[in-house]
Amino acid sequence: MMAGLMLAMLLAARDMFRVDVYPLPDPDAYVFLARADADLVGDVAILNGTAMTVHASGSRGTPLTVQLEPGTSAVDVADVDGDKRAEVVAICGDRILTYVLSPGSPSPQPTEALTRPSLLSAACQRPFPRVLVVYRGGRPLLALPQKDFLELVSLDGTVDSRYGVAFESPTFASDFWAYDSRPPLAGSASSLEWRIGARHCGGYDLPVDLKPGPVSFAWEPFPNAWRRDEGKTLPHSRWPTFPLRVMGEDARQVRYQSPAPPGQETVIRIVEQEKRPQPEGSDIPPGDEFVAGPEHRYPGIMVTPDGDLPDYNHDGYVDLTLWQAPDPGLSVNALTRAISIGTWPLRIAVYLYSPEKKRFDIETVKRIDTEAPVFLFMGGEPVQHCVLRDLNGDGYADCGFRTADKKFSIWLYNDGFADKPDAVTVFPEPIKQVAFRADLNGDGSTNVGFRGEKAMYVLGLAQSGDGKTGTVPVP
Amino acid sequence: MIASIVACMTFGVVFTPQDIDGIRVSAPNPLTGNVRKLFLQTDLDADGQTDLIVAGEAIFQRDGVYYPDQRVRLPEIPSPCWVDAWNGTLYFRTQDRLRVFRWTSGVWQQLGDDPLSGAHESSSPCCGNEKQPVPYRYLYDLDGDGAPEAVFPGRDGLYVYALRNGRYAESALLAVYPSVRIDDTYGASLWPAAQRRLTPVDTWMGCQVAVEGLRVTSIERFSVSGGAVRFRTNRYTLDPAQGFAIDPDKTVSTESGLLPSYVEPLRLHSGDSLSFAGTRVDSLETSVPPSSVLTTSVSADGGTSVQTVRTPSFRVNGSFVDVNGDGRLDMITHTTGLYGGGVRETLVRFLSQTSVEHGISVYLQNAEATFPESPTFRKRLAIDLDQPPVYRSHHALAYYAGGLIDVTGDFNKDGWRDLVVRDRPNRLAIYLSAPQGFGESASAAIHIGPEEAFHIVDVNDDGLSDIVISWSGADERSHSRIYFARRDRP
Repeated sequence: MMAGLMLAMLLAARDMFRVDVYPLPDPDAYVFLARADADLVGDVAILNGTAMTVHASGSRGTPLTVQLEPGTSAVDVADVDGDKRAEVVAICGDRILTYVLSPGSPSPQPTEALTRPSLLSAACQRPFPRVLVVYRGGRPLLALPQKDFLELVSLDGTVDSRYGVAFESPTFASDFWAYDSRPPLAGSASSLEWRIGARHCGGYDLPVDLKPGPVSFAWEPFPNAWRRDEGKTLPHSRWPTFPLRVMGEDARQVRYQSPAPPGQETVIRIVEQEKRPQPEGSDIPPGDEFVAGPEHRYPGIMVTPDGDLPDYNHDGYVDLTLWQAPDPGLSVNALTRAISIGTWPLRIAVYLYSPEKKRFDIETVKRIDTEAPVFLFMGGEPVQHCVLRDLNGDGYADCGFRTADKKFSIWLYNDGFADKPDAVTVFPEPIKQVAFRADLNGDGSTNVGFRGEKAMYVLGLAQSGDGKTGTVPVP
Repeated sequence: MIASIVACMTFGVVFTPQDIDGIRVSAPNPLTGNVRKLFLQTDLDADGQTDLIVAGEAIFQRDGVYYPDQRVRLPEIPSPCWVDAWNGTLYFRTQDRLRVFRWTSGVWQQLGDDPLSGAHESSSPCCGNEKQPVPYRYLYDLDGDGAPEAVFPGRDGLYVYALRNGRYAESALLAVYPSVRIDDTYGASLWPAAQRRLTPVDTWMGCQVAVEGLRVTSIERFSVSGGAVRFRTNRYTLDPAQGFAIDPDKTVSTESGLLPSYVEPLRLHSGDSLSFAGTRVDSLETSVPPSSVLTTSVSADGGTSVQTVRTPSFRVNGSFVDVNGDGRLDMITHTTGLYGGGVRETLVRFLSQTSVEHGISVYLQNAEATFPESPTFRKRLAIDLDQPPVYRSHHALAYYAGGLIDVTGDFNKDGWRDLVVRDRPNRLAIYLSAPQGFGESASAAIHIGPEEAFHIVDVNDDGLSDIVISWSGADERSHSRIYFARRDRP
């Protein structure tokens, strides 16, 4: 145990992975990734009120700490002075402050870089991470939000540019509401009472060089109606969609749905976008239309973890991941048996996309047969905290998910999956969520950040490159 | 249409059914069980009987009955429009005007049509897509002179319009909203570089505002670390001599103690200190079979102390009701008999039993604004779920959603809230209550169709609660039958 950090507690087969533990001073503390030192590795930062801790890869286990000034509203970690090292940039009232991150300095003092009012001058409930520094032509600029625009300002106070706020089409009262409470709750029976609210949000009209990259893919939730009995009747144009290619342009996409009753099978249609000519003698302009391929049915339910588009065989196509579980039947004996055992069989089936067959190939199906706690099935979605990414850096997506209350198991893909998990991690507390998936050190392997009540647990390859060694400290 | 039969007779209550289309109410408030009337009640023709304003029409009450041929269209007012009533006069507010009508000699007579200066800023008080006037309360006699002021929430505050020389004109803009806050719920992604996004600062403001006499109360909720909340209350006093402007010397600010995140402000008694109450249902994730716990919390002393009761239950409606009519809200907790016993017993219950035992416990609030440690009285019920719980029948789902039990009605106007239980898919059982608790056996029963829902509301404003049964017809329109309560014996 080193200064409360790097408390690995991995029970890992092959010593391939390790888990670094970052204690959370408060369950609601912000956890975010930043580049805090000179290397290219992502670092884990924790912001709890005005106390900021950065676990920099180059600081050899000693966290960098910054005590922000009271009244600080927003914080960034970026190289704002061009010295190739990141500073903490903070807005406190009208002042823009910088803090030098240095292992030797337990609590660096702020330097006032500029005084300029902005929307962030107002006090917040607590400081929060926000992009405050951008680069234009290699030159750092402060990005300060004003009432109706964003301004880019150099450290000497010179305004570089301003960009207006482009709100989504505002309609009458779309961002203001006042519902009358009848009968009143806080007032007496004869009083007038309302719940009143207003929200102000939108987007900036930014030039190309400031526009961020595409957002990561987000799976659509199944419409509730599908969970009942309307799935069969919904046209495929309303089915959820995912891209056929992991990256790059492709006119094809995949539509899927699980007809009622849920849990039996998933229906897939691959659709292709085609140019539609203008119909002769019609006012309808030419445009695009989707032409749907044949329907294919696969046993099981789609596994759709946040942002993951798994490509198990590294051919550039997204592959299909489904889960299945046997029906216990509705007999007291069968259910009592299942409950007393405490686990229930769970199968994960992976169908690789075949460009030749133009469908997900049922003949080359790869399976994981395991068991999961019965309670996970009660909510209808037993595959939880699932990660379908390349975890060992070999270029192939792997499969990891919760297999017990505090247990996370990983199956590495190697033209299929092993009978038993390649690595099993037992956390000291229940995991609330997968907070991030990111290649922190640029070696192609994914680090997974698990958030608990008491700590962040970051799972990653034990040692970049060899994938063999690793520590197995006991908690 | 009047049903030809009297539905039932109890010791003191008779229910008489009448079909009245257009009577709509909202879903019950989970905390108080009260529904919001989506219609207005006022005596339009000054005959001493309460008439109804529903879906673009007025329905006159004649001899205690709302006859279908006693419906007249409301005046044509462009939508969106919000209607309120005051002493038989209707006020129609559109985006920029306030029109006043009165039913006189069988026709609508327009009494006023005044522009609302600043109304463009006043924005929409509610849904703006309704084709019919939307019932919405905005009339209030601030100074007690008998003529109502109109109070509209706008973006910048409450707009007060007062009657001057026979016309409504802007009198004051009350800046009672809390400051706009930066929405810091989600921190931005700072790494890798491709995920660094420049986004505008999201801001929001939220509050609960009550107007009572010349006092306006604004309550703001703050999240505190560890999942707790705190409420800041600002009490403003209006000065009628200054056109209802806020008297800055009389503004009082208070802040509550730390409270559980699920509570909200609720007037539990007539005292000056603000009180808070709330319920939360927790599913026990790792319990097999799944179970849930209902936590009911209350603080009647401004958040200084919190009293909490936990019971095995699903969501309920009406955890705080003035059961004994003393002006203080009492606490009601529920206990389901679906859980309990070992795994096998629970499974047998889920797989084969169609009936569930349900317990209701009433904690009467005392004069010190506290609740007793143990219930003042209890009631045990048997509810027929139609099918074993595993099949999740329509009736079972309604049970899980708190839709089978209602303790908000007083059908015989004795001050004690009576109990209505949909104890079978097709039956409402009414238990009258008294100081010793709810009746042993049902005093009355009313038939209800399997696809129908019921709510308790005093439709004819006679002080006796009525039972509204509503359903969607084949024409996809909402229909309703009202079982009007009437005292049979003194």
